[in-house]
Amino acid sequence: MWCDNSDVSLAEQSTPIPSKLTAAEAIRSMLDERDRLGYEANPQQAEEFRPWEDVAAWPDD
Amino acid sequence: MRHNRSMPRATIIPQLAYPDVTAAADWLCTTFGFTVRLRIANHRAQLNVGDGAIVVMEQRPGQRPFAHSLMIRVEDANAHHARSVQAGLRILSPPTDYPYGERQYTVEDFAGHSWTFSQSIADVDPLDWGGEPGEL
Repeated sequence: MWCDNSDVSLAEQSTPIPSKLTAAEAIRSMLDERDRLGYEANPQQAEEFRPWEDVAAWPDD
Repeated sequence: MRHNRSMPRATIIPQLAYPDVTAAADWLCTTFGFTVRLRIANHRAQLNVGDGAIVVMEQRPGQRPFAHSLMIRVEDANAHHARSVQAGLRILSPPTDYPYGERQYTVEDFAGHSWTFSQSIADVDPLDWGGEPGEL
C-alpha cells in the first residue's frame, strides 16, 4: 500500500534527521565560540587600525 | 603525522578572513587558480594551493580588516600547549577536540599574531560532520 500509516513510518516522520547543514552549523557555533572567547581575552585596539588607515587613505588631489 | 581527510596535508595553513567566504573562495579559485578542497557551509573553505592549502574563514565583527592567522599541524597539541604556557604566552583557547578529527589550541605570540596548533587525532570523512568535499 503506498499510503501506509504504520507506527514505523510515523516514527520516521517524527524523528528529526540531522542534516549536513546542521552539522556544519554546529561546527560554526563551536569555532565562533572559540574565536569569541579569544577576542574577548584579546580585544582589538584602535591603534591597530591606524597603519591600515594611513596606507588606505587616498592622496590629496 | 597522522592523516585526516578533514585536514589539509600541509604543515603550515594560512587562515584568511573575508566578509563573504563563498564569494572569496570563488574569486581566489578563478583569479589565482586555487581549487576548493572542502567547504563548511558558508563559513569556511579549505583551498588547495599547489602542495599546500589555505583556509578562507568568515570575518567576524570586531576583527581588524584582512584579519589572518596561521594554523600549524603538530604531533602533540598538549605538549606544544605546555611549552607555550611555560613561555608565559597568552592562550586564546585551550586544547580542545573537534568533531573533524583535530585537537587544537590557539595562542598569541609576543607580537600579537594568532597561531592555532592542530593535532590530527582521527581520520574523519568530512561528510560525517557536514563538510562538502571538493578535491581532497
